[in-house]
Amino acid sequence: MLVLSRKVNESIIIGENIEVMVVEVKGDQVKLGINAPKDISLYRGEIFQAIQEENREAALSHLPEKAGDMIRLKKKK
Amino acid sequence: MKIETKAYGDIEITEDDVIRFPNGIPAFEDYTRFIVLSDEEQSPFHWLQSIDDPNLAFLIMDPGILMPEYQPEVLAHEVKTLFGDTNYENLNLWCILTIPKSHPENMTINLQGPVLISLEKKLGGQFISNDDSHQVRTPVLELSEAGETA
Repeated sequence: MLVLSRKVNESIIIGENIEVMVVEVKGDQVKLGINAPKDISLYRGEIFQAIQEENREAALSHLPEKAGDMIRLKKKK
Repeated sequence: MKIETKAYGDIEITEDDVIRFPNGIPAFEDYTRFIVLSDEEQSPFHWLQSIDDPNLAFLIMDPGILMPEYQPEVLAHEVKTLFGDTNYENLNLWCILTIPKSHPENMTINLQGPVLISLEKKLGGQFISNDDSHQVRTPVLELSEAGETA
């Protein structure tokens, strides 16, 4: 992994049209500003990880008997 | 063709039933062919079953029956890349459930990672909703109770 030191208001350029700027540093939190074309997908890294982990869990799911009733009963109450 | 499924054993399907997931599903990127199987009539539970591995199947549900107002905030260009257009009306919306074997009442629904399927194009994929209120683990029974009082 490439590691670069940046100060507030300094940025890095990725490719031809993506700019990531350090907007603010407060304690252990860094605020980043990102300029990128609209067709570039941007997500917080942990969201993608969370979805992967949840999919692994979900693949172990079991459908219990009368599962439909669990939901229907809750609705009827 | 005959396939083996996690829930129903061997079943007969046609090539037409197969939905391609070109990017797989995150954490299972190598599995790119699925079929949607319905549980008994009227059941809200459906299976997204891999054609290539009988053991890989996800329980899915139409999130609209729990949250009629649920609208995932997915990136238009990602939808376009997969389906060729952004005609959301023609897409089926599903969310994946996690149902622990020992405590099914703790089942959760993944509102942050909705699955969109085009039956017309036989294509599907899992997307990311950018709405911060959409969580990967939303308790289903709480939602169904909330829906009842609303």
